[in-house]
Amino acid sequence: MASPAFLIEHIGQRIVRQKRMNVWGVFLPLIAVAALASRILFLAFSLPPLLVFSPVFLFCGLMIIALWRAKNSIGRAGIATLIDEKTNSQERFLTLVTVPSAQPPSPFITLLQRQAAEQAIMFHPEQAVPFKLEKKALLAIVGSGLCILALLFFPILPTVAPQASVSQLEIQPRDLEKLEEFARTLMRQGTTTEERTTGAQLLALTEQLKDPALSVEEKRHLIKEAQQRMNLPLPQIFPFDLQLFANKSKNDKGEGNENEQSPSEGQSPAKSEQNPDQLGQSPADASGNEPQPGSQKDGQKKEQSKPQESGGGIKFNLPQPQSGEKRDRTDQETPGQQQKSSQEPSPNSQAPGTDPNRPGGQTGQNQDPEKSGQIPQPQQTGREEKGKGSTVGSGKGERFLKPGEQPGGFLTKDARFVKVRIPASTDPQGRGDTLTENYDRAQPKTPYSNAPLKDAPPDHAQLKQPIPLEYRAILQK
Amino acid sequence: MTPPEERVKEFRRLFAALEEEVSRVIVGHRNAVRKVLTAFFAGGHVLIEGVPGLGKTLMVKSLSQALGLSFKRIQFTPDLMPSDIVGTQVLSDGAGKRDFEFKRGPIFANIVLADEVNRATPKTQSAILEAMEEQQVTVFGETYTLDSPFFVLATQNPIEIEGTYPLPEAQLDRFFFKLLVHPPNSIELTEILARTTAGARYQIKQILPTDRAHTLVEDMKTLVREVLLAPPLSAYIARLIAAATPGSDQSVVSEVTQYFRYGPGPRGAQAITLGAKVNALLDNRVNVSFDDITDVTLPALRHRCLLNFQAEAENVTADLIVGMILQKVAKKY
Repeated sequence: MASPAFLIEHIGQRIVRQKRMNVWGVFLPLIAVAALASRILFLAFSLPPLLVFSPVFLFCGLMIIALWRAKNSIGRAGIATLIDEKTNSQERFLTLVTVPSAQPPSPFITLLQRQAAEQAIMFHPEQAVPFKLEKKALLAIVGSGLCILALLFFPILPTVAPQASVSQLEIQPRDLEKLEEFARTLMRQGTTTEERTTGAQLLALTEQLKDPALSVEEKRHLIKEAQQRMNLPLPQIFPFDLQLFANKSKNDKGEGNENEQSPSEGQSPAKSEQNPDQLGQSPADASGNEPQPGSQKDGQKKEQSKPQESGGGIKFNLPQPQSGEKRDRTDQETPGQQQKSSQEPSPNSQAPGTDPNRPGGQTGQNQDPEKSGQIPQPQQTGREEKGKGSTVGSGKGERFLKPGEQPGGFLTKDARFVKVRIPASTDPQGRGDTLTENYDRAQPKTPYSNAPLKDAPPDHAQLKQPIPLEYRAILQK
Repeated sequence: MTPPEERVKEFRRLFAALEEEVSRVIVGHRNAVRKVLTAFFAGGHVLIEGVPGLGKTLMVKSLSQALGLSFKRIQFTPDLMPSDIVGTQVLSDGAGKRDFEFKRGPIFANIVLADEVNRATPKTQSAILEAMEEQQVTVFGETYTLDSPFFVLATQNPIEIEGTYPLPEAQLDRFFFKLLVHPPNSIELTEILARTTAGARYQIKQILPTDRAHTLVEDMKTLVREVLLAPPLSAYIARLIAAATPGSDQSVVSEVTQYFRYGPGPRGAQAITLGAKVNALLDNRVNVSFDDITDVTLPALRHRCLLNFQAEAENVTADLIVGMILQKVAKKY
């Protein structure tokens, strides 16, 4: 015959073990999911490890608290109540547990212990307190399993995992050959100046990557630099998705200056919103020369090349300030800089050899490439001649092109928007570059309408109804 | 000293014999008989409410005969005086000199049946207040102790309003239980006819021997008070009382505040506890359970919960509200 005290102790331990098992069942899958998600985030964004893995630490802390509470949550009275319920003991165990500590010893206690022991025979701990997972633990396990599967096969991984694995990749000679072949394809006859420039840069990059003395990290750095210059996502350059360039090249050749490249073709959306800084660094010169900081023509070229990359947008821009400087839509420039950005630039503001009216419009032919900090391009001279030839052969020289005009005409086909910058001279305050559209301007509280306002008490300060737009011009006269 | 097991066994045997013997005369009303015996061994008094002719008086007489204790009956009428109950001083001529001698009233008995107690005036009703609670009476400044055990069983008729005086709240609170006697069903009525209209009537046997009756009853009353009550269960009883008190912060039933004018006091909790202890002994236990408490809560609280006018108008009874309280108050440890 089991002693009631022993039974209560045994059941207490069993309940604690069962509760702990459920705590493990709830928290371990969550911790696994959190760890996996944190690792992915850590590899993808290089965030501080403490921040990324904080959910894991949080779940671990909660699990420790839950384990501690599982130990202390169940008291002897609770266990006694459970046994009473299971054995229909009519609170014998509860009385046995609580009365001795509350009252002086009674002769009835012995009798009660005997009765409780008789009842304890009918109690089976395996049936009363089975080791089984609660519903919340099962849900946590199933949910976590689904989350792990989703994390492993979610579309975020193809973008994250390759970036994480690129650093581990060795550059294969086959890839270099593909890249070189692709660069030469870009530089052949009939391609645009931008393609030729890109091809030249890719060719230079290929030559550099062939150097066996360079380490993987150095090669990686070179690729990153090239990517920054060309403003292309890294995976598209090397060693992946070379096919995309080929497709783009075919499209450009087939459609002239039309640019119908959609984001699905591998063009990242960010590409259409190129940063002027990056544009300033990109060698958009048709002659293949290195971009010259502060060059007026360089700014024009950038603006001309922009619509091609943005997939249909056309921007009529005034001549921009020096390309090496940061230009923001809302930045404030000095009057001297504003003068430089006017449409009729003064000759003093032009770098030698950067006059757009000069035949060929070539810039920086005598410049040392190393001064500009760019990668040396071994086939530069040859490409210059080819570029000149192709420009002349297209019918209208570049020097005769108007701002925003390409050799194939104005890029108006499939244009989705037109961005017009007001010349500085028309700005009443003479701040052409800072005159931008204010989309956050305050809206009138009273709607424009001809309807009379509602009646209000005489003392009430009534809102003055603004003049409808269509009558403003008349009334102002 | 007798072991507890033997004492419990003897208690159960006597209780069952008494219950059985009374049931030989009273058809049906087994629950009422058990509750009367429960209140008797718990040391309380019982108020029985029912229409005439249901055997209330017969039940009390049978009980007294079975117990072998002295029994007196007082028929309460509007002209009944307190001295008619407690007794009075009378001038006696004895031993050559005249002196006032206290003539004991019918209250001096072990079992007193106060029949139709609500027919007497409040002045007369209050005459038994001191006797019920203090088990003593005071006449002309002299106090007389009543014999033990002292058990008052009062009956009242709920259908007669004219010429009746409802018992004051203070007097109601002194009754341990209030039992409702319902009319018999057809089967019970057939049995009543068979027992009362044929041959000789059954004579109640005395269960407790006359010489040991007082001792046995006192031992049984002592045993009842030794039954163990776990603190969680006493807390549950306290929660029940608090829940039945209007305006209490532990009230879990909104109808309590809506329909109750006053709630039960400590006597209600004492009645529940002692009644539950008797129930535990009857179930061969020495500890109180939640079921024991639930069983006695209704008869212990129904007359201690005073209804307001709205409850009377809407025909809401205390039983209904107490039942809701029993369902709502959690049986947690």
